[in-house]
Amino acid sequence: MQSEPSSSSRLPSSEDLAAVAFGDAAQDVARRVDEAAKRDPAIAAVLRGMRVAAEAVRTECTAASELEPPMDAVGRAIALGARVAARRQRAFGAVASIGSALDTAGAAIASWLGLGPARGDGADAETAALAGFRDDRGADAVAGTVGALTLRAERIEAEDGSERVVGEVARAGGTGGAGGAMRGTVAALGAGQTVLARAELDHFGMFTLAVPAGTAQLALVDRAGEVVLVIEWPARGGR
Amino acid sequence: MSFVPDETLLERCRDGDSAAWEALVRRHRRLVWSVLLKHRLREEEREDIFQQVFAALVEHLDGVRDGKALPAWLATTARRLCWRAAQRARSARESALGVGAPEDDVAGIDPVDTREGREVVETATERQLVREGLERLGGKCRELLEALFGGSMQGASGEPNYALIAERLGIRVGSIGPTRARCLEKLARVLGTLGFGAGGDARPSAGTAEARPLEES
Repeated sequence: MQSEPSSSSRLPSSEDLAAVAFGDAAQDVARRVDEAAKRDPAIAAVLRGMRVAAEAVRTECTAASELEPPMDAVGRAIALGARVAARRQRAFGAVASIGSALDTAGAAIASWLGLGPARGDGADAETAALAGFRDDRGADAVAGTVGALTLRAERIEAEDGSERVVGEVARAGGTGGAGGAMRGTVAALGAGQTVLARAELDHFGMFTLAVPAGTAQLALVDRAGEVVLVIEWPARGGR
Repeated sequence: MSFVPDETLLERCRDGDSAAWEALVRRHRRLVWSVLLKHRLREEEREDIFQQVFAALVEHLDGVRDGKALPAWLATTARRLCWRAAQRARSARESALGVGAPEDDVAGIDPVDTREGREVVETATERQLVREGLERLGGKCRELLEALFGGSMQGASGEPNYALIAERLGIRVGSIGPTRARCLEKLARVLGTLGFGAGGDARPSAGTAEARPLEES
């Protein structure tokens, strides 16, 4: 792939430099490039970079097949991904057991966001704490109790269609103050329980979490990293 | 598809994403294998060590957080595992022959601290940079450079078969020259950014990662 011959006074083009780097430049082009590189450090630098790149790719491409491990070996290494996936199961492994334990105990996980109007104690009282979102199109105040935990929250849909959940987690008997507050994290989980977003509970056990599209569940994780509560996140239109 | 850096893949692996793991294995398979090829090992030993290197990475996912250090980490771990395998084999041979203490002359040596060891690791990581550079280029540029340099589309004279390359890539023969120039320039810039040819100065060594590669015991 050679460039058209031209007078030695003309600056070499990128194509000329590439031809020299590649090794298929015509003699007169190679001479012209060489002279230009001697005169101009900028041209020399570009040529040097192209030569290094060309040599590196040549070495890599010619040896690529020799350096290819057997497919079986690659397949077995990829299969180690099961151990990688197990990390997620370890992190959220408590989900299933908590769910079944609660079922066994007859304590239903409150489908707190799917029940429409506010229910339970304190939901109305939270309205004041959740002020500041008056631009929102609509909001559902909800509350639920599972075991020793009381969760009160509002699900909020902003005008741009985005959703937030704002609320508080407290131990039973707490009043929302620091004494009864729980410390930990609320996480939005997508399909396969991947963590899409998370928010720390503050000193009062309160949280605000932007809920990304694709959220299927909310999980409450305590400070030790244990999942203590998982709640299905219903599609808004489905309620 | 855009290039996903090692750091992101590692983070996804830590979150339990097995697809990210597969991408990491595919990206670094040749790097690891190239180190193993430098050692006289039986094929099945080599495959075992290949597994062990990636198994070690699974175990150390929480420690290897600097994606830029990952190639050196893998190469170093591979080198050390090869060294161990060679020592075990030698020890077994010498024990069978009743020859003295087999490990006396190598005790305390880190196989990566020898000149040969450093060269093996540096060469492997440099080549990985070229692969990463090509991966970052992506698209037609990568295809064209691999076609021109790879030798899989050569004519009888050994020169690239430009007509065939143009047909495969769906471009005009006349545009190969200008495209090649643009792609080489671009690759040179990408390699410069990655620290290629900087003698490892521009990239962290394996030892600077939070988790050190598998140590010689």
